[in-house]
Formats: sequence, structure tokens, C-alpha cells
Amino acid sequence: MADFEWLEPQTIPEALKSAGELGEEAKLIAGGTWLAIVLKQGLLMPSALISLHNIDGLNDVRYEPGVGLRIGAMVSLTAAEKSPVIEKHFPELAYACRVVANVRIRNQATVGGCLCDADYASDPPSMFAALGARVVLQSQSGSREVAVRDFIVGHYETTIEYGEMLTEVIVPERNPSTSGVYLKYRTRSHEDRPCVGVSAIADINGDGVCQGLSIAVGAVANTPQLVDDVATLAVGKQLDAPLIKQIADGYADSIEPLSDIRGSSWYRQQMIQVHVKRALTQLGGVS
Amino acid sequence: MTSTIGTRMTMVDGRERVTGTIDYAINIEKEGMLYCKAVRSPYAHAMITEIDTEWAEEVDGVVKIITFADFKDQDEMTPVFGAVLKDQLIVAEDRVRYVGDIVALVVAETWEAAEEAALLVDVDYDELPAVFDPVEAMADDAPRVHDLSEEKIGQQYYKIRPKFGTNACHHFRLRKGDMDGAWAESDHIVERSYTTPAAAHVPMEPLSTVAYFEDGHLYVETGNQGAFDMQKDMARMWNLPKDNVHVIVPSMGGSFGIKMGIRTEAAAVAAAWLTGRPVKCIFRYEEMFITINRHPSHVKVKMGVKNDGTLVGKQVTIHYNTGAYADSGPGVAQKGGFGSIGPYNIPNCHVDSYAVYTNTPPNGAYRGYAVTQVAWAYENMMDELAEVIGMDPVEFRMKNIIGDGDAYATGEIMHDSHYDTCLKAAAESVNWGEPLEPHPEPHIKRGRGVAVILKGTSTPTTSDGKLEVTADGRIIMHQAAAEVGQGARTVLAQMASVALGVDPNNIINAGTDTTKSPYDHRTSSSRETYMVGKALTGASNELADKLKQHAADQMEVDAADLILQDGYVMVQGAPDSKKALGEVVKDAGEESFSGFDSFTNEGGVSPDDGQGIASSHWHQGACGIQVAVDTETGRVELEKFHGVVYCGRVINHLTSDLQTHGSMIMGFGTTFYEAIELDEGQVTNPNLSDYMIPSILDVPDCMSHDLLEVEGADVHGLGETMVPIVGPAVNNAIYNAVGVRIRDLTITPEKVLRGISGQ
Repeated sequence: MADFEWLEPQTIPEALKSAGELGEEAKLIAGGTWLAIVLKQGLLMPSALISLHNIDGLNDVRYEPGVGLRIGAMVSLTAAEKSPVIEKHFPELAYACRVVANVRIRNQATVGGCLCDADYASDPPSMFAALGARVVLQSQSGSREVAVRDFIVGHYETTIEYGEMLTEVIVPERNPSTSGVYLKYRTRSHEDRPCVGVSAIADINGDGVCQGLSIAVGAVANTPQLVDDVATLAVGKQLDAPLIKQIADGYADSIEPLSDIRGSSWYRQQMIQVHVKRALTQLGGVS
Repeated sequence: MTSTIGTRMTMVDGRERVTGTIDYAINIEKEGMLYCKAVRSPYAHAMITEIDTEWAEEVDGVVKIITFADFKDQDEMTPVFGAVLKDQLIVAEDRVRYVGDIVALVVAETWEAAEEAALLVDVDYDELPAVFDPVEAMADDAPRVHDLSEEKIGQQYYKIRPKFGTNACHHFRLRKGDMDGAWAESDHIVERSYTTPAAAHVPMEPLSTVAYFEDGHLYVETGNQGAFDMQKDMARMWNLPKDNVHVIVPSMGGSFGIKMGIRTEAAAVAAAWLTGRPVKCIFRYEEMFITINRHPSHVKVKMGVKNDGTLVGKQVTIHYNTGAYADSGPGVAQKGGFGSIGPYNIPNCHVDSYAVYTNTPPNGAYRGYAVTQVAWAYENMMDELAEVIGMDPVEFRMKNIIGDGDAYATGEIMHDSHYDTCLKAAAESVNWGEPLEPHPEPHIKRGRGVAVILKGTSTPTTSDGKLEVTADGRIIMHQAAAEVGQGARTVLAQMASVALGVDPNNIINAGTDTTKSPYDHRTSSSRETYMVGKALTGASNELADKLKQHAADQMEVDAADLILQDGYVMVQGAPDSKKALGEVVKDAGEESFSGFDSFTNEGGVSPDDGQGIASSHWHQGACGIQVAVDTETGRVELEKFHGVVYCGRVINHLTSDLQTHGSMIMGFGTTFYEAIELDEGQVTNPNLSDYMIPSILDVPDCMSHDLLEVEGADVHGLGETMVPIVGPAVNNAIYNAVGVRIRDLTITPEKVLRGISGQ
């Protein structure tokens, strides 16, 4: 591993100042579960690492009526999975954090970090995308919000600029009739990354009619895959078996999956179909 | 102290192991010690045109960059090694043969400096055509990985039969009976091919050696399973008397075969020789995946059977991919060659088993040595044959299973055979023959399968043992079985303690130093409890007799009236008249008394016809599996997972249970997902994120086992028995559930789904 300078800013402005000054020379480091690997492999050789560990105010989880859930960038996946606030308002998000890798990784990895590294084979990003979450990006010149589905644009690629820092993730408030599910499908060990991860969020009213459906499929392409025109087929209808099949088929047909050690493109296509179907059936689909 | 044999005594070093206080090889530090890091080839096959070390030498702390030039034009030492064929160099001369082959060694004051400089060694290559598949490598026009010639091999390689003009570095043959006659006599002849991939060992502790020279003596402190092999090799390479080579082996943090043969040792010694300082060489975790793996294989089987289920003939052609260097490949070809017949009576057998060079990382010893590959083939084949003749797979096996007095394919007469009992227990564990209740979910299908194994132990070999009581009352066990975490020191102390009537926890293990320790062949083929245990038992009997005789004189009683108990010699029935063991030694005017014994298992087979005694006794076991296959995803869950292992006698039920759990879990991992992935010879998953091993959450709750014992029987090793048969038993169960037969390990959900959907 090449030498680098280790910076420990105490406040967000201090961190932003360093990030702004060092630009491409520096990398922000949160949990480091991903960054440490690429540093060791020599794929990245920044001259400075800006640690966010000592900054107050990045570890909060709170629910703000009218806005939604606000999760600080440095909240660990363990803290997220165990947070009573997240469990109360978005239990499927807590679950998506709980099934990541193993306890050692979850203790270290952070919510902000797993969005910024934009690894395709990760669990939480598709859930954040399906929930319509936004990231808050701060820099010395101000702050902006970007929807997660627009934030992750490629394999390990986001729209964050040098000098910017992800400080918070906002999951917008939703109707009480909404519920969600995350299905992680692994082809190897329980500690493996997903072959396919399906995040599905449905708003189903008392009459069993679907008022909104969002499905993001993770780990099958460079970015979480949302196929809006297929998901909206459900609006105003009952999620019955033929409709579920139509949506599952539509998702499988619309996504061109990648191949990796966890499954070929052909296999992933089949698994998208099966797991979208299973997710929707769990979400109160009627058979 | 009553005997602890057959109890659940905890490991003598258990506390140290779990509290992290064992001094593993990787923790050894010496004053003035340097660090050595390998520079590796990015090409599978290439000529080295230039090595530029200038930038690397400028890194602060770099002491020496070793290239082949350092070994040229000198006659002090020979930089060539290899377990069987001397085909590997400490650093490449002019040609690299796999992605990961070592081209230079950086020696520096710190590990960090060595790592940094290693990145800066600039090597130019001219690529050569490469070959990666062992069957393709046998073609006449395949690139040659080594230029083996009769002249080069000469007489020095006893029992090695290279096929000159090909990449085969060894060809083992087994010939029994008449194949033409066998095929003519058969009602059905079935041919199938099976393959297995490379797999990684994944011990917790990486590879590490500290080496230094002092007053003409060489000290090699290393985690290795073959201390005396290492001593012989180092003495040969550095032209030293054997007695000047001290191979010191601390406790290891796992091995599973990776620490067998030269790994970090030659590099560390070379660096110490060239710098005159102690050197630690480490191959880090990611380097283990390119240092040595399990042999990938192609196994082609042709079998003839009569309508009534009688096996008539079996022809097997095996290609083991031994990678860029032979390592233990010839041994694997031989052991898999004679093992490929399986535990069955087959009058006519014909085996050709090849170890073949390719431009992939070398492959070597791996738990389940050579047999995982052939058992995958033979136990799948038995189910395939059973279906062809319309017979129940268990009944078919029972009809042909080998037993006492039967001649195996090698001609040896079997004894202490319990294959039938193992198979019966495995079948019962899954309620074989009873109706199988359908899974409540209609898309999930259940099925059952079994598999049986026969696996040899190294023959002929020798192990010595010595037990000592000192005048100050210490009891010291001298032996050289490597403690890799399997509990060797515990069971050996238990066996050594019996005749002395002492607590095994009070026996001090002298540690392994090849200039002091009694000889041991090596820690392999699950042999140590049997072999070293036997030697130590003999040694302790001799010591006990000696103590009794001296005590009888000193106490003026008849030696026949004396017993040894709780650290005393005492008169039977009169426990007050006793004497501490150390006092007996002291009063005899000696510093210590000792007993010694040596045990050799006799045998050996010819590499030309496979006839002889392949194994002084055989490891035996069976596996029963019930699966639930999700027909929408192809994912397989185990609902029953039962192992049966024949042990003869169990020395320690705790460590035996743990060993069996370990081998079942390793069998599970290598069945479902442990495989080295190669792209043009490059390992693409050399880390524990991409190469997955089972976690504790993956171990099926239903996992269970029986250890079969027989009164008065010899101890049988059990450390590997289950590894090879989990795969075929699972596969047979999957076929039973959904009619899909996978012939290429590993069993991934995708392969199962492709089978189900006809893709």
C-alpha cells in the first residue's frame, strides 16, 4: 500500500475545506471496508485520506414528520439494522442492512459509504433507490440533494464531485398503507454478496388495490434497476397472480443482467423473474 | 489416573489456541531480521527478457533484490526443488510458467519497504503460447511447460514415469484381469466423464518462514507438515550435512495440505544465505491462492455390468492438472489411480492416471488427497449404472461391496473392512427404502442419496516416538507429528500416557526440531494418530517397564507387583508404598529414563501395473443426504446430512467429532461453491470475498455423524474421510429429487436450474 496522509477533521466544514483543497488528491474514508481493499490492491493511490470518524452529527438517525427518515452518513450498517426508528418506519430497510456480509463488515461499513462506493453487488443501494431516497451532498459552496437512483450512475461510479461529501440520506415519508420487502438471493455462502437483490415497495389500500409500486433490482447490473413503466402497471389494480407474473416477466425482460461468479446473465434473468414474483406475492399479492 | 482413551478430553493446547497465545510461525521475530516479498509474473507463459531493479533498489530500507543472477556461477548451493521432480526454481531463470510464478525476491528492513519495492521491480516479458487444460495439454502440439527428457530425469526419480514428448510428468498404471473379456461378459457398458475444479485450502494462518544461518548450521522455523522432507531438501540445496539443518515447526493455524512441500522456505533460506541475516518470508493471503491448490481433474470412466448387478470391468482414465510444477502431482496421480476403483469387487480393472503440467498455478496435497476427484466420479457412476440396470443404488452397492478376504484391484487382500456397515448406516440415516414425504411447497422437491469411500494411507512409511521421564519429574514426549490444529498433540499425549498412568495434560511436548526429534514421515494421509501413536505407545510401554524394574530394585519388591498411577510407581493393593517417577530416575543415579519405538507400515505398489499393497489399512466411510431442491431457483438445501466414519478405536471423542464436523463442512463447501476460477491461467477470485468458504450460518443444522468402532481394532485416521463423499452423495440426492445429473463440480444453483429447464 502506498503512503498517504491521514487527516482527521473534527467538523463538517473542516472536512469540506480539506476535501475542497485537496480535490482529486484525497479520498474521504468512512468505514473503509471497500476503500481498504482497493488501496491494498493499488487500484487507488490517494495522497491523503480524510477520515470522517471524529465528526459529530453524522451518526444520527431520526424521523422528521413531513420529511421522513434522516440517516447520517456515518451510521454503521449494524446501527441501521438495530435502529428502532428505522425498524418502526422502514423495517425493510433495516432488513436490507442486516443481510449484508457478516457482523464484522456491518460493524464497520456505513450507510454513506455503501452508497458512495456504488458497488453493484451490494444490498442497501437498491432498497434506498426503491424507497425514493435522496442523498445530501455538501461542499464548501453549498448543498444539493440527489435521488439515489440518479446518484449511482455506473460501476463504482456516482455523481459526487471532488470537494463534495455525502452527509445524510433522506428517505421520504410515505403513506401508512405502504410496505416493503427485500429479498436477497445468494448462490453461495450466507456471507456472500447478492446474486440478485429485489427491493419492492407497494402501497396497497384497504380494498387491496395497489396505489403505487416501486421495484429496484440490485446486483444484476452496474446500478440498481428500476423499470418504472412495468412497475406502474400495478397502479389501480389488485396484485393478483397474473399481474405479478406480468410484472416479474417485464422486469426480467427489461434488464440485461451482467455475469459474474455468482451467476450468469441467463441465470440472473431467471432469478429476477422468480424473486420479483416472490417479493410481490409477499407484499400482499392475492393468488 | 485412569486412561483417557475414548473420553472427550479437551485439547492440551486448547486454551492457548483460542486465546491467541500460540507462537505461530508468522509471529516469530529474530534480532536483525529482514523481510522477504515475492515479485510475481503477470503472464501464464513467457520468456523474461529483462529485469530492471533500479527503482526498487532506491526504496528506503531495501537490502537486496534477488534474481536468478544471484544463483548463477556458484557451486555452494542448488536453487532447484520439488517434492518429487526437481522442476521448480527459487526464482525463475529465463521463463515463467504461470501467473504468479516468482521472478524476483525483495529483501528489506521492513515488510512495508519490501512490499513497496516489489511493485517497482520492472520485468519485461515475451509471451509464449500457454495451455491450461490437462487434456488439451496432452495433445502433440500443445505448448510444453517443461522440457522433460529421459536424460534429465535419469534414475534419480524412483518410480516416476513421465510420458516424454507430452506434458505428463507421471503416468500411473493399474492392470488387473482382461478388459476385452470383461466387456464381452457385460450386459451393459456405460461411459461417463466427470470433472472437478481447483480448490483453495484456506487455513487461517498464511504461509511464513523465518530462516537464518549460524556457525554452519541452518535454522528454518516454519509452519510445515513435513519437517524431515524439508530437512532433506534444505540439506541438499545448501549442500549441508543433514544434522546441520534444524527444521523447527511450531503449532500451525491450519493447513489442509497447503503447508506440505516447499512454500516460503526456499525463498527465506536463499535470502538469509545472500544477506547473512535472519529473514522472514511471508506469502500473504492472496498469494496462497496462487501458490498451491487442489488438482483439477478430468475423470473418464467406462464400466461393464451384468443384468443382475454384478460388476465385471472398469476402465478409468484420469488427468490431474498439476499446474506449472509437479509438486505432489505424481503422488496424486498414483493415489487417485489406485483409489479410483472404489470399495467394490471388480475382477477386471484398467487405470491410466496422469499428472499433467499446465500453465496454471501448481496444485498439490489437499485434504482428501487425490480421492475427492475420483470419488466424485465413482460414486456418481454407481448411481448412473444402477439406473441403467434398474436396480436400487444401495442394493447395487451392497451387492458389489468389498469385504474382508476380497482382493482389491491392487491384488492386496482386504482386512478390517466395514464398507457395508458404513453404507448401511448412511442409508438408514436417510430412511432409505421408506416413502419420502413431499415438501409442503410444491416447487420444492426432495430426494435422497448415498456415497461410500475407500481412501488409502501413505504406505510404506515410518514414524518414531520417544518418551522420557527426568529426575526432576518431568515427562517429555518426543515426536514430530505436526500440530496443525487437528489435535495431534492431544491424542498422542493420551496414547503416551496410558502405560505411565499419568494425566496427558502433564506430558510436555518437546516440539519439533529435525536435529533432535524422532523421525516421522510427514503429517499427511490422516496417518499420525495411527503411526506416531503406535510408536509412542511402544515407547511408553518400554519406559514403564524400565521404571518398574528400577523401582522394584529400589523398593525391594517384585516388579510384577508394581503399577504406575498418578505419577507414581506403587505396589498394587498397597497405595502407601509408592514412589514418584522422577525419584525412581534420581535414585538410579540417572538424569532421565526413556523409552523408544519405531513403527513402519509395509507395502507399496508398482507404478507400472498398480499391483502390491497400496495401503496398510484403508480409511472408510459413507454419507447419507436428503436434499430439498427449489425447482424455480435450483438452490439445494440439505435436510439430512449424515456422515459415517470407520475409526477402529476412537482415542478422543471430542476431537474426533470436531475433525468429522470439519471434514463434512469442508466437503460441503467444496461441493457447492469452493472453486478456483481461472481466466487464461489467472486466478480471478484470490480473496475471501470472491472465493467463498462456508460460514457457520451455512452449516446445516441437521448435520450429524457416527464414528464406527470395533473392539480391539487398530486406530484409523479420520481427518479426511468425509471430504470426498459429500459431493457425490449430494449429487445422487439431487438426481433422485429432480432428475438432474451434474458431472462437473461444483454444484451451483445455476447448473441445477439449467438441468431442470433443459438449458
